Amino acid sequence: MKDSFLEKSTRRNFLRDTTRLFLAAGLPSTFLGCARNEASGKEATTTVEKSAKTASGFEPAYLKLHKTGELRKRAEKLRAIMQECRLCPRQCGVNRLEGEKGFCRAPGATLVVSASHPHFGEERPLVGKGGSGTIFLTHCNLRCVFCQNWQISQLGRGAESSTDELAGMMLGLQKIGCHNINLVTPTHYSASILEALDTAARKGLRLPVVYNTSGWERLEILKVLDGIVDIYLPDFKYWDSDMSEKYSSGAESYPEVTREAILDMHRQVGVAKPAKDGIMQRGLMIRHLVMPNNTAGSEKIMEWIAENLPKDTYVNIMAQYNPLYKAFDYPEISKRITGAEYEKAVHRAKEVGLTNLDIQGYLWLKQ
Amino acid sequence: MGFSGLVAEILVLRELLIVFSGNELCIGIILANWLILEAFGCFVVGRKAEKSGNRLETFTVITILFSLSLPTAVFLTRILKTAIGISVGEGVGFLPMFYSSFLILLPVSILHGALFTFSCRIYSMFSGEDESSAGRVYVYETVGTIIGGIVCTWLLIPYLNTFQASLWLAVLNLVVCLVLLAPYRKTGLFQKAILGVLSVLIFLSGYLVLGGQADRLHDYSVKAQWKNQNVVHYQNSQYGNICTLENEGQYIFFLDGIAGIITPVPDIPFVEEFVHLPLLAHPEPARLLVLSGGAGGVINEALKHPSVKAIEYSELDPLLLDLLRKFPTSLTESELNDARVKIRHIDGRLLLKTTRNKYDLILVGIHEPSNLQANRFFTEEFFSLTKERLNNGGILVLGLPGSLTYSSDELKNLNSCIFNTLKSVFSHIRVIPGDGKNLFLSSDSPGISTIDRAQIIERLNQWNLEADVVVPWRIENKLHHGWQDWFSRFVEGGSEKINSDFNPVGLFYSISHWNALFAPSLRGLFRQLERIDLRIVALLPVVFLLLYFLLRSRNIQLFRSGIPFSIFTTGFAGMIFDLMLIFAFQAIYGYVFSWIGLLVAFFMAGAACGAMLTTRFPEQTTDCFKLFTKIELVIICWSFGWPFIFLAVNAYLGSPGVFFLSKMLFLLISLICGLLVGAQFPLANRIYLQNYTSLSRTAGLLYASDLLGGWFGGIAGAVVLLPVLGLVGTSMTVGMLKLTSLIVIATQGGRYPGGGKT
Repeated sequence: MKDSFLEKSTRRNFLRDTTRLFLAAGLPSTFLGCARNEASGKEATTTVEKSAKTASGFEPAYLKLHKTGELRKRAEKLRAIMQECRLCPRQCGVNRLEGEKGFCRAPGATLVVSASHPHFGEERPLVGKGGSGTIFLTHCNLRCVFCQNWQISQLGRGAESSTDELAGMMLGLQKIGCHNINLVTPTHYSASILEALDTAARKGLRLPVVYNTSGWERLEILKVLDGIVDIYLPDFKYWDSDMSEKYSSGAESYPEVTREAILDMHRQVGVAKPAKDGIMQRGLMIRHLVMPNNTAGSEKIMEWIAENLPKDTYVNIMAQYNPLYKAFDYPEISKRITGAEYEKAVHRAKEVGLTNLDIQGYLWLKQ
Repeated sequence: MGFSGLVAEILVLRELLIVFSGNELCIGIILANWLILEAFGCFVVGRKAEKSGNRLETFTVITILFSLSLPTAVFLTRILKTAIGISVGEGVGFLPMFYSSFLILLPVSILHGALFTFSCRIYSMFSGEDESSAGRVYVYETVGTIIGGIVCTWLLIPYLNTFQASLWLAVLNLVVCLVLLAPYRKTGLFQKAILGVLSVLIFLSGYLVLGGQADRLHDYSVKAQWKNQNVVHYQNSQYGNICTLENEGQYIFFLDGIAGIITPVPDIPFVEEFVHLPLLAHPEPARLLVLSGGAGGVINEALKHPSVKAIEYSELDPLLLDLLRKFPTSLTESELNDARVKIRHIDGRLLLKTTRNKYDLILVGIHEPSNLQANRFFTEEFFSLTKERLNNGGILVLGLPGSLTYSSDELKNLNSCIFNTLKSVFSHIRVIPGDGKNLFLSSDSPGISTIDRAQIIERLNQWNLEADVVVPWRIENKLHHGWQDWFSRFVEGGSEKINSDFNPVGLFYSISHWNALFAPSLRGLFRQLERIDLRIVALLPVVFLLLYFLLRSRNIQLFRSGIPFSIFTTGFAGMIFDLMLIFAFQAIYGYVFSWIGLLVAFFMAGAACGAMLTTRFPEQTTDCFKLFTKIELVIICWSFGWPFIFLAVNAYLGSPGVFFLSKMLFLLISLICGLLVGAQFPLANRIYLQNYTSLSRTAGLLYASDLLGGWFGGIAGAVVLLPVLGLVGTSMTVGMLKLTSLIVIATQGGRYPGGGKT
C-alpha cells in the first residue's frame, strides 16, 4: 500500500491538487493533466493553510494520526517520558517537566530554537526551488568534541519558544514555499515537536517532516515516531564504540544503537526516492562525515549499509571536517582530512555496490 | 619603574590575548583590569608607605615580589585554559575572561601601583623636596614608559621569549634596589638580610636566563598551553604571536591563539566558494589583489584559473610567510613560489592607497571588523578606495560572520550595516550566506547577480578547466536564488547605519555579536549602548553637575573631590586622545608599526615635557591653581577642535606634499595632546599638598584618579564611544567631561589658598 502511495505522491500532484482543492472549495480533486508553474505552486502552498481536508496527492504521514487524535496521544506519551527523561539513549532520568536539566542541558521541558528559515545548502533533493524549512533546536544529547555548532549545542544560544510558536514557524516555512520541515537535533525535544506538529496539521501543515538526527535514537522512541516522520536524515558517525565513547561524551553505545535505529527508520519510511521534480518526500537519507585518521570507520560503515540495507539507499559522504571546539584536545582529530582519506571512503562505498551516493568532489577544480 | 610597568603590561597583555583570542573588547577588559588594580595598589597599598619606617626596605621587598609575580603571571596565563577546562579551539566567555585576567593581573598590577607611591616618598627622601616629587616621579615614569615601549618592541619581543624578558626585567629591578640599598648596608641586620636576598635573587634570575632554565620553563608552559601537541614553533613578532603545531604532516598555524591556516589541506568548503565563485563570475579575471589570508589555499585555488596573470598578496607580518616557508608543504610551496604571485609585507589598506595598479578582483582575507584595525577593511572609505582600484567589471570579495544555525539581532545588525555600507558604494551586491561566513560580492557590473550553474559550466568549458564533478552541489547551492530572499529577510529591520573610518559602528556590532554568543546576559546592555548619542552624553554632565550642586548646597563636604575628579577626567582624556590618534592615523595612512610606535612615543614625550614644565615653572604655589584651571580650559577647547584638523587634512590628502606634512602634523598633535594631559599632574599634587600634608597619600590618590580615568577611557572609548559616536562625537564627549570638571574646580576655587576667587 505504501509503495503505490509513494508513486502517486509527487510534489507536482500535491501542489496541483491543493490548488484545485482551494479553487474548487472542497470538490473531489481530479487530474488536471497539465503542469503548473512555480507561481501557482506558491499560491497553492499559501492557501493550503485554510484547507483542513486531505489532498489526494502527497499526504504527510502525520496527517492520518492527527485526524484520529493519535498524534496528540503520542505527543502526550513522549511528554510523560520526560518526567523521568528517557527520550534519548542517555536515559538520565531527570524530571524535565519540573525544569530539571539532563545530560543534554535543555532547560527542562522548555523548547529553545536558535534559527528557523529556508535552507538552500541541505541535500539537493531537500532544497528544490523553495528550500528546506530548517528549524534548529538548541542543546544536544551527544555533545561531540568536534561540534561545529557548539555555541548552540553546548551553550544553548537561542530563544525560548512555546509549542504554538514552533507550530507557527512550521506554517510560516510552508507559506514561503519550503518543501519540508527539517528539524535539526530533535531528539530531546521530540515531545514538543509532536505537539507543535499536531497544532500545525490542524492549521493546514502539509509538508513532509524531516527528522535530522545524530542517529543515536532509542527504538522505543522511534516506534512512537512511526507514522509521523516522512524523511529520516540520520548521521552514522562512528563504527567503533571506543571512538564514540571518546569523542561524544561517553556514548559508547552509539554504533550499536544507531545501527538498530537506522534499520528501524528504513522499516518505517523505506528507500528515499525523489519525486519527478526531484524533491524528496519520504525515505531514509544517511549522512556520514569522514574523519581524520579513519576515526569514523568510514569503510566499515559503508560495508554495513550495503549488507543490511538496499543498495540504492541514499548516502551522503561528507568531507567538511574541520578541527573545532575541543577537537584540539585529541591530536588524532586535530587536523583536516586528506584527499586520500575521502577517496578511500567513497571508493569503498562504490566497491560494496552502493549506488545512490551523494559525493562532494574533494578539491573540485584540478590544477 | 615606568619601564618595567610598560614592559610587564605589554608582555602579559600579549600572553592573555593569545589565550582569549581577543577582539577590541578583550583588550579593553584586560587593560581595564590592569589599570584599576594598579590604581588600587597605589592608593591603598601605597598609603601604607606613610606608616612604614623602613621605606626603602619595603620598596625593595615590593620590587622583589613584583619581579617574582611577573613570570608567575605569564606561567598562569599559559596554563589558564587547561586550568579552567577550556580547550584550545574553544572561546573563553566574558565572565571567565574578566575574572581570570583579574586574578592573574592582581599581584603584578597592585604591586606595581604600590611602587609608584613608594617611589614618590623615596624620591622626596633623597631630594628633600615634597610637593614636586610626585610630579618628578611622574616625569621619570613617563620617560621610563617611552623607553620601555621602544625596548619591548624592538628588542625584547623579537629576540627573547616572554620568560627571558620578564626575568631580565627582574634582574634590572633588583639591581636598582641593590644600588639604592647599598649605602645602608651597615645599618642593621634587616638591611643586610634584604641585600643578601637581593643578591641571591639576582644570581638566581641570571642563572635561570643564562643557564637555559627559562627556556625550559618556556617550553614546558607552551606545551601545556597547547595541550601537549607537537609545537614545532612559537614566536612573537611586532604584530603578534604565531604558534605552529605539527600533526602527521599537517601544520596548523595559530595566529594570536586562533587556528588560522592549516597546510597542506585548506578549509575546502570556504576557500572554494571564496575564490571560485567570484573568479567564475568575472568574464576574464587577470589581476588579483589578496589583502591578508592568501596563503594556505586561496592563492592556490585562484592560480587554477588560466586567465589569472598576476596576484598581488599583502600580508602584514613577515613572520607568517617565513614560517610557511620554514615548514613547507606542497600546497604552500607551489602557491608562494609561483612567478605570478607577488608578496608584499605591508598593511593592505596602505598598499591599496599607494598602488597605481588596477585589479579585476580584490579579495579581503579579514572576515570580521572585530577591532579598530580590522574595521578599516569594512568602511565606506575603504570600499570607495577599492572601487577606484578596480577595473571595469571588477569585483570586491569579502566575508563576514554568518550563521545558518543561529540567527540573532546582533548578527543581523552587523551584516545589515556592512551590506548598507557596500550598497552606498557599489551598484550590485550578491550575498552568499553560509555557515560561519557570509560572502559578499560587490561590483558595478551586473554579472555577479546573474551567475548560475549554466554560466559556470560555460566558463569551465571555455577555459578547459578540469573538474572532479562538473559543478558540485556545495558550489551550486551557494548560487541558489533563494539565498537572495533569504538575506533580505535576514537583514530586515536591521541596522541602517553606515560604517565609516571615523565612525566605526561595524566594530560595535561585531563586539555585540561576540558578546551575544559569550555573555548573553549582557545583551540588553549592549542594545542600550547602541542608542547612545551626543544628546544623551551631553545630558550626563548636566545631571552630574546638578547632583553635585545639590549635595554641596546641603553642606556636604565635597571640596576635596575637585582636583582628583579633574585628574580623573584628564586620565580619561589622555587615554581617549591616545586611542583616537592611533585610530585616526590607521584610518588615514594604514597600519605602519613604527609610526604607531612613534605616535605613542610623541604622546608620552609630550606628557613628560608637560609634567616637567609644570613641576618647575610656577615658583609660587599660589599660581598653581590658576595655571591648572587654564590648562583645563585649553584641554576643553582642544577637545572640541582637534578632530576637525584631521577631517580637514583628510579632505586634501591628494597631493604628496600634504600627505607628508600631515604625517608631521600627526606627530605634533600627539605631542600637544601629551603635553596637555601631562601638565596637570604635578600641579594637582602641589595644590593638593597645601591642604593636606601626606605626600604618599596625595600622590597615591591622584595617581589612582589618573589611572581610573584611563580605565574608564580605555573601556568606554574603544568599545562604545569611538564605535558608536565616532571620532568627533568621542572628542566632544571628552570636552564635555572636562567642562564638568572645570566647573567643579572653578566653583571650589575659593577653598584653595591662592585660588581664583578669594
